[in-house]
Amino acid sequence: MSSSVWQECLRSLESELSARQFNTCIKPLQVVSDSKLVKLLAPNKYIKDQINDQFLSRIKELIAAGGDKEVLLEVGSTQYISQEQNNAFVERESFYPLLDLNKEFTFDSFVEGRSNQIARAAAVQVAENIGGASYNPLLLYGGVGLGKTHLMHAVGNSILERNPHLNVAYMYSQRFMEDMVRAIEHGTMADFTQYYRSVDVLLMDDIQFLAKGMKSQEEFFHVFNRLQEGGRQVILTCDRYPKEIEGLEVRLESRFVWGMTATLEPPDLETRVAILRKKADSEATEVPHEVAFFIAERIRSNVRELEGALKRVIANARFTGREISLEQVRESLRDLIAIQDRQVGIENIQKTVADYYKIRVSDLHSKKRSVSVARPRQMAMALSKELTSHSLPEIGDSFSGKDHTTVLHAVRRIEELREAKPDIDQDYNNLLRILTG
Amino acid sequence: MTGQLALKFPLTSDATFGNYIGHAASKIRTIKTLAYLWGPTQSGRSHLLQALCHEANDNKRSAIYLESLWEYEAELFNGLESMSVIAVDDIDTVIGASDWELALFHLINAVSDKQGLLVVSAKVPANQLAVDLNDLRSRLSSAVAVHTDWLSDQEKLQALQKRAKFRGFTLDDDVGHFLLDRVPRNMGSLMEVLGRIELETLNQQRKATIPLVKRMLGL
Repeated sequence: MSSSVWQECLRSLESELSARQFNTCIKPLQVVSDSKLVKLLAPNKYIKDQINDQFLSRIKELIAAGGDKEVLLEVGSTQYISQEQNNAFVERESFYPLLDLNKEFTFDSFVEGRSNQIARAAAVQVAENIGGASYNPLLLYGGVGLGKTHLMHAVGNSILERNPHLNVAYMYSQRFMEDMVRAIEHGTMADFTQYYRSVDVLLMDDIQFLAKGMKSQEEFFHVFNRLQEGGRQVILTCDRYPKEIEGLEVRLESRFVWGMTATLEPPDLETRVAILRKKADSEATEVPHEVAFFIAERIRSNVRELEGALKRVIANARFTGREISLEQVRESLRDLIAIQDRQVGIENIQKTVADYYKIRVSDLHSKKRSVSVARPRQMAMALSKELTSHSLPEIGDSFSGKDHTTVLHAVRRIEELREAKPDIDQDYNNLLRILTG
Repeated sequence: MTGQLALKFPLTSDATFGNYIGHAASKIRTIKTLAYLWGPTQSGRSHLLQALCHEANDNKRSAIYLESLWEYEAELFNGLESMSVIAVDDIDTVIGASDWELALFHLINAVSDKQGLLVVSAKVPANQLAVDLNDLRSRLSSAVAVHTDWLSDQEKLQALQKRAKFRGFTLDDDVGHFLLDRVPRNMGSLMEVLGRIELETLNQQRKATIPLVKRMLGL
């Protein structure tokens, strides 16, 4: 079929169909043809089915009017055809992990802080001692955007650097499930299973999504067991502790945590500043310290949003040709900052802390000095300093006119207690997560 | 007099960067991975997304523009990472539906793995979208955000004239000002009226004049 026949076909369909139908189903089609056959390649099965049901007979009519006869509709892309150099294109059914490790995710590019140092140390340990019983599997868990995937890739990259011959497979759980469904559909389940059971290191991202499929859980259970028996390394990431995943089988729950589990917490202010400066370096962009500090003070919940904010600032600076400055950052992040300021105010912190310790907000404002009230008050003051831009006198005023030195004392006291008492540190982190999550 | 039969040819087919007025076009063209385009209804989001796809096609790259998502199932996103450019309009219409949120989350991951370009659009900034899935929220928040432009009346007139020229007819200043005084001044309404003027001028074989527009609009 000549391209003009297809162009003519497109013109007719564009005038006959709604813009939505045309844009979604017809425009993305790629065409491959030889003297006998016109092959239409749809981007996915869903669109292929839509075309089959609604438009294929009309397309065939139009192509036949241009002199061609046989039309075949498949899922695919010309990209794969050229790769395979094969005109007998088949629907993509490979279940082998095609996912590459991100080479930029290394231990060197990972910014270490108090919030993630144990996770990093565990990851380094695994990279240096693959398959060691006490670190297998390594489960990295924590909220979104805190660097779990980064650490996982760093382990993979480090292993490959030392042992290039090893088969390191990176996969996320949704893709594992999709590949498995495809393997079942195509009767290639044995190959699928064989592949996964033969890898040396399996990196499985976001295992919380496995809970959605019973069959996938069962298959993963067997893959997992086989790898463990063979002393192969498994590294998993999850957005929560496995016991908290609704729908996850108990046998998987227990296996996921029988090696080493390490959590990643939201980074503290100093780490956030360090992350921004490292990211700016990697973008070969000069970001003044006060700017990094300004962004880090306002974007607190996770690293991904922090880096996203920096990307916006850099993109805006490049586009407008302006230097990165506080004023330029305020302008670039105007909407983001407005939301953050609205969300985390001192009042909100006081209410959250009072709820957490099961006391009244009025207790925080009182002069009571019992530990059960004084400690939450100090906690609320420390969090107000960490999470808001208010000055110490302003924070003191918000606690019924306390002096700024009282606030300073509270901040220092909480710092000391966090070092000395794990339960206080945990309370602080929990509150931080509640307030910024 | 029998009018000439005008061919139906949607205005969207010539939504290109060339006939977009504003800075957002240059911004969005520089993005290589994930972008979040936001701005109110009729502020040019669809135009920019379609322009992105037209440009990709012109460069022999595969592209898909998706709109009215609620008309489809979330499986629409499965496997789309095989396309070089994916433009998804009005994602806010399906945010809140767990199957769509999950599908979009996986699409973002898959596109990122393939180093393709995905641009999604919505009415509000990413951090104001009521996203239930935390993973998705953080990914959308980390995308490079581009805000559509707020056009002055003069810029709207320029945009109309550019588009008219592209369609092969002239929209004089006086006719353009007349439109801006009489019809809703959002670009969607203005473009819709422009499309009707084009058909009318073709049918009547006449220039676009104020009397013609008045008659057409029943004023």
